[in-house]
Amino acid sequence: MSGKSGSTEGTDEVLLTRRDKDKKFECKAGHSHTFRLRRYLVRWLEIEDVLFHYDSAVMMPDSESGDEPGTIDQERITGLSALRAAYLQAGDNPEQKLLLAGHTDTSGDAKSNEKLSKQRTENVLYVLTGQKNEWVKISEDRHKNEDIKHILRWVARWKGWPCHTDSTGNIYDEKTRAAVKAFQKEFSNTGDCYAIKVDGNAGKETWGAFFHLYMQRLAELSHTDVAGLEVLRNKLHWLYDDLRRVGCGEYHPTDMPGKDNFKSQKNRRVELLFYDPGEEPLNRPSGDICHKGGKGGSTTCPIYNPAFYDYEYIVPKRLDIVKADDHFAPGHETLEITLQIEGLSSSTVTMEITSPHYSSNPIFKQELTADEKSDGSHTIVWDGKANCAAGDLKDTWIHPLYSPYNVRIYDSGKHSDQATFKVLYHSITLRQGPWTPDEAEPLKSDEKAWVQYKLNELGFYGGPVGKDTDNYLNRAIIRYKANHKSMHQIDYSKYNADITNELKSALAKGDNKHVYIDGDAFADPAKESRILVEGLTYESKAEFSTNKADKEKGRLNLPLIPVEVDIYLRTKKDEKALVPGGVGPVRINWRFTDSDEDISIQYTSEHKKPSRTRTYIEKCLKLRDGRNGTNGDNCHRDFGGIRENGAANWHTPVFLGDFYVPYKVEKDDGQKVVFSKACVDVAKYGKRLGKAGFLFRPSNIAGDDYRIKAEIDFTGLPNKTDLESFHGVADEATRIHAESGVFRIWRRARVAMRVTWPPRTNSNQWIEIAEEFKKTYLDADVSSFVTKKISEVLSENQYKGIVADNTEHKKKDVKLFDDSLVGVNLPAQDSMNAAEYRMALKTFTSDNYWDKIVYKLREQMSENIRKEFPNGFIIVEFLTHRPVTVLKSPPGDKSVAESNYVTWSFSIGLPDSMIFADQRDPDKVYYVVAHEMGHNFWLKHWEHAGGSTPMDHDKADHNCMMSYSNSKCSHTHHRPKEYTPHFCGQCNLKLRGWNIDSADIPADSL
Amino acid sequence: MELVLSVNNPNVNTLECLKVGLDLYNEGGTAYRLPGPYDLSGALTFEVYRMDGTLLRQMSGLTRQKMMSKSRVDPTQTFEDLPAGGRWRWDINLASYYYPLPSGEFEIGAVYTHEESGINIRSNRIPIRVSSAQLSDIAVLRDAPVLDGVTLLLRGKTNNTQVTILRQHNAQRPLSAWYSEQLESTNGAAHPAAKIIWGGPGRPFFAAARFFKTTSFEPTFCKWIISSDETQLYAQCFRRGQPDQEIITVPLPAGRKLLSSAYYDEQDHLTVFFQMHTGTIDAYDLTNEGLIFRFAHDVPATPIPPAIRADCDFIHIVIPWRGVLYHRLLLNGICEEKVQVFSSRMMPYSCDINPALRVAKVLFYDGPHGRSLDLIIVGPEPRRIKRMTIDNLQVRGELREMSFDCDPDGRLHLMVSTSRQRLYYFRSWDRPVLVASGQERFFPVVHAPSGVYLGCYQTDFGYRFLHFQRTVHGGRVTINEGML
Repeated sequence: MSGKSGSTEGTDEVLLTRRDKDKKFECKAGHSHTFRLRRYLVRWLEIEDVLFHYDSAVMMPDSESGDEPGTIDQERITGLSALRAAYLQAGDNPEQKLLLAGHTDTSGDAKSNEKLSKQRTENVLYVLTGQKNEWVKISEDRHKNEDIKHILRWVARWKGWPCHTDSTGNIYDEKTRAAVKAFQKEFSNTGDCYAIKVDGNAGKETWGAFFHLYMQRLAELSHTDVAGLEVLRNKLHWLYDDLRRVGCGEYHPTDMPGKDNFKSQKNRRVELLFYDPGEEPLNRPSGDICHKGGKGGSTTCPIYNPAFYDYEYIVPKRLDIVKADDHFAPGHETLEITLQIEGLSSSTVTMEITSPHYSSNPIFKQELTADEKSDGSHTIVWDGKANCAAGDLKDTWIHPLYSPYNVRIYDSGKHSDQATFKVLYHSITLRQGPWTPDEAEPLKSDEKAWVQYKLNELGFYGGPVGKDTDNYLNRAIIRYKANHKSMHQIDYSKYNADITNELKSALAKGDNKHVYIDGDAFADPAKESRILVEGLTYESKAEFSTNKADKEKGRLNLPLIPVEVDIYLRTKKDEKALVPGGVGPVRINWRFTDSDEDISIQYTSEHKKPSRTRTYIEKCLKLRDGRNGTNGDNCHRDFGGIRENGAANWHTPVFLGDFYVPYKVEKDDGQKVVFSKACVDVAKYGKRLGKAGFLFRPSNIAGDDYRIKAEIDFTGLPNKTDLESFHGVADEATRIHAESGVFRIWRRARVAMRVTWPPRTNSNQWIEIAEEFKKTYLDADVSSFVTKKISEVLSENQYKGIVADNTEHKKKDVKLFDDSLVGVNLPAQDSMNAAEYRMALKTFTSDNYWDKIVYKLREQMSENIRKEFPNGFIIVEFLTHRPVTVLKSPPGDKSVAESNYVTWSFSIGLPDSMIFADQRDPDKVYYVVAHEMGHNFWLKHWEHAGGSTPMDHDKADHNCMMSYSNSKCSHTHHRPKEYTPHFCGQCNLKLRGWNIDSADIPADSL
Repeated sequence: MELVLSVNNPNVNTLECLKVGLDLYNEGGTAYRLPGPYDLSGALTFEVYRMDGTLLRQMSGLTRQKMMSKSRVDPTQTFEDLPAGGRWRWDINLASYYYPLPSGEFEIGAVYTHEESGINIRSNRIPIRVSSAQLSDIAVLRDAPVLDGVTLLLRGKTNNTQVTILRQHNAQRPLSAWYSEQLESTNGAAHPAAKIIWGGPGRPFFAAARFFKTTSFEPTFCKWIISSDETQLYAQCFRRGQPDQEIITVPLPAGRKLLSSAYYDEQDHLTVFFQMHTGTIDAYDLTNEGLIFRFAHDVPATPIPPAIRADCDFIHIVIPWRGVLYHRLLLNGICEEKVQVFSSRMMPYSCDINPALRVAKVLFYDGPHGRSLDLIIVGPEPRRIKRMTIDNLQVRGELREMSFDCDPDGRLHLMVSTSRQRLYYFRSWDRPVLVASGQERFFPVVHAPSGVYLGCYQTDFGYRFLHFQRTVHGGRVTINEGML
């Protein structure tokens, strides 16, 4: 070693110790050099309060003031506490070496004092090292009765045993005996002790019991158990393994040094000396009695020579945080800090909570009460509420984002201890959120917001409340009016988005409420919810030729579902606690998964009839890299959906920005995720405190599906690494998260009315109809319609007027029959043969009657019916005319060719969701009706039908619902009555809302 | 089983339709219940083959239904018993089964099929020859005494022989016809009972029914044709194309021109109209006893004649004078209303009345070399005008023939032929479609009852109404060959 050298201008100074005496130094000539000899430093722990009674080698467990027996000296550290302090010192400074040195006062014989000092250090050593037998031997050999009484009183105070004695002096009187007996009895009956002889004599067994209790108390003070003391002992590193203690006799008094025969409590002491490396004594003490036989004094003592050593007193810890909760949930439970405190009852002791990441520390500061700082072990509790003057924690609970927190307890002097604790998140749960921050409807004076709110409540997707965007409100108002019987218009162009009193009244009454989301996907990842979107039908004949997807885009809003998470804190028992104020502005990421659709439900060629729906749909779902295992297969934006290309598809079903008050949803382009932060504004948004949310805005394409995953993300925080470590987050997958089940978009429609003209005699096959649409994710409600006769929905006068205005028939000749559509008498057969007559009847009833009135009839019926049933399909089942008898070839052959003949005109899907289904249609009823309903949804004809639009269909599918049956087709399954079609793949997708006119839509499924 | 086909006349022209006879013999010992002679299901099919053996078309009761009616084709079979040794006979005018055949040489055969009975019989094949007919004139009638119909009177020439065809279509679906009858005998000579004068001062025309009755279908097929020579006026009724024996012949009144507007009532009382050079219209009852004057009505003289129609209550006159002038008269000739419903300085090209929609159609243009057109629809109320103006018709060459109609939705449809031998179809909302080419004349007739049908003559196809079908991606004109 070379001493430290510092240089001032022109000089060098070297600090030396005695170890450097043989060292050579090179010094620059011509310079002034200073060599300083410094003393070694020894750190010492003085067990000054371990009073050894006069002539006793027994270390007392604690101190009693000299004035009054049985009272505790509040200012001194107890003997066992000093040993605890030694353990702490050794544990905190593993490089330091220990040597025990025992002392006596100067009264009595020096040689005897040498022995006594040695015995005292041994007594302390054996307690320190847990050597029971050795301690018992010394104690038994060299004790005073005062020792026994002192110990008994200590036990009585500490354990509450009935072994107190007020006997004083060195006599073993009856009181003492009784006390010993009581002690022995109690000891033997205590669970963590063992049986000893109960005789009132303080023999070896009793001393062994004393040692046992010493160990218990030492363990207690060290916040461990007796077995744990061994760990502490192993941390002791001895200066000399074979010479752990020396007796220094009377040679180093501190009280009245130089005065012989002086009885001094202070001088009767044991000192624990800790040496840093390099500061050890140059010379080893000669033996276990240091400078034996001589009054060597300090100047010759290798340990106590004041010329050699500076002494630094180790302040025993008087204040020790024994235990603090690792974590707690503020506002739900309290933080408990177990404190061991001694000798600070007259000091100001303060508890302070800080966080290295908080700018306005301390977060909490409070003085301990008198009780809390009295000697002993105390549990301080704190509820977690800050009392800082500034910062975002002011007047609120602490939260996880500043973890870890420090709790520091300190006095005005040098005693302090600190511990860390955390506030942690436990979990998050997903649910549907409210439309407004206060979960109440806006004031009616805020008209637009109120209307939006009501529309949302009623299932019409009125838009983010208070934010008129994307024309949401206008579209929703019109759809609401279209679905309301008093505001429904036959002519769609007459709708406007005016907020009328009528509209407000209807909204206030809650008219036309319908379910827009069902199922349990929020609560259960295994469940599925449906998000329901209105299935639009075309409104006028002209609209039938327009593009369905374009029309829907102009009329239908994307669905809107508010989503929130509740964020739970972790309690001490690792359970969850909902403490909104303790959540903090934690960031919640929102992720979306689009699972591959289960297309096994779709028809294939394996079915009885050769459908290719599944093949076609799969082909389309793969467009734009869909269904490749990573991109999902929802409808891409090129085809009317909202799915973006590949990796860009992470923010599409979200309303970005501040549309969902109070949350602001932002993009993280790095992680490719959207996020919002938990609300912390208790003043403005008390009910949203501790929650985070966003407005879920999926596509309105049926069949599209989404899973929502919410996760806690500590990105951007300075203590991100710590927080992730505390929460066991190793990667994105292990973040605290909640995942929903599947939300799938469905379209909805209903049959509102069945009109009989006359009633059908065969089954309507409603279930089969619903099943066909179900495959396209259209929920066709066929269970809640009403049935009416034609005369109940159309007056005769209206009917006559329509016929007279649109045909050659005069009003007077027309009647409204309940059993047939044509309301005039049919011309006679005369001399027409059967074939000609049928052709003539067909022309008369179908081309010249039914075809001419159908649209006007529909208009009038719509006007009548929609007053009560503003939405839903109206299925009119009719017979063209009353049955007639057809003769073969009159007048020659008057035999009957066919009796009860009724012309088969045509079934038709008309604007405003009205369908006329001809009962003479030989085809299956489900097919006829579903076909016409398909027209209402803009589907065009395919094979064998007039106005066939092949580009609207899978050209390879010859089993489409939108084809006609045909008796001459090479596809024999096309035969009338036998044809059992399903929607082809392109029809299926069109019904869902796909824009099949887009480029790249496949022409076929091949 | 045996199926024997016969053809009345295997040499026909493109304007007329084939008539066939068919016999089905059950020569076995088993009786059958089969689709009978009045069946429309398609059990019986006629097949026409080109000489190279390729199939040109199939015709059956199914095509009959499909080409005659908008309603669904009913495949229901009508059964009858054919006893062992029995025979069924069909006499069929294929006019109702399909368009007339195109020019060329073909073979026709029949197939009778009934799968359930295991019967599939083919007849003999008969060669036929269809010669092109040159159409020279046409008269068109739309009326609805019972059924709404479009009736054509076609005059043409084939192999130097004049032919006159009377053909009646269902107005809603004028693809095939109720009947198509040649009014000359099979050897080309005029039918001894038909009296239609071509080449006279006026062209033959139809009288329109002014009544509507539904007790019988027969009035549908009764058509009065009126024609004249220099001195006489002739009126004859044709029932299903067959002329009545009775012909009304009356001398023409002097100083008056016969108008191509006439009507008749339920009792077959005819009313005809003449116009003086001053424009005054005289109405006469046309009887066997002669013309009986009924009333006179003053209208301005115009370059083209006015259109006159009557219904149960009124006589409607549309005069293309300085635009469109409308007069409504009671049946006794008393004028109830006169309205100048539209003003125009352009020349009138045609003036007609669509009785089904009760509207008048007047077409104005700025001459054969011009490009501006005004298509005017007036009615049902006189002041209800719909107009389509074309400032610059995008065609090359002179305008030759024009025809237009409006559909029930009020949209106008126009056909124009040019000196460049092209026939175009214009829709009010889209660009023109080339319908045909290569002829001087096409005799276009636009007929838009609900769908759009474009009547035109083509040398190799005769006269057909072509169905124009709209699609999302445009439209196409369907020739409808091989449709089924």
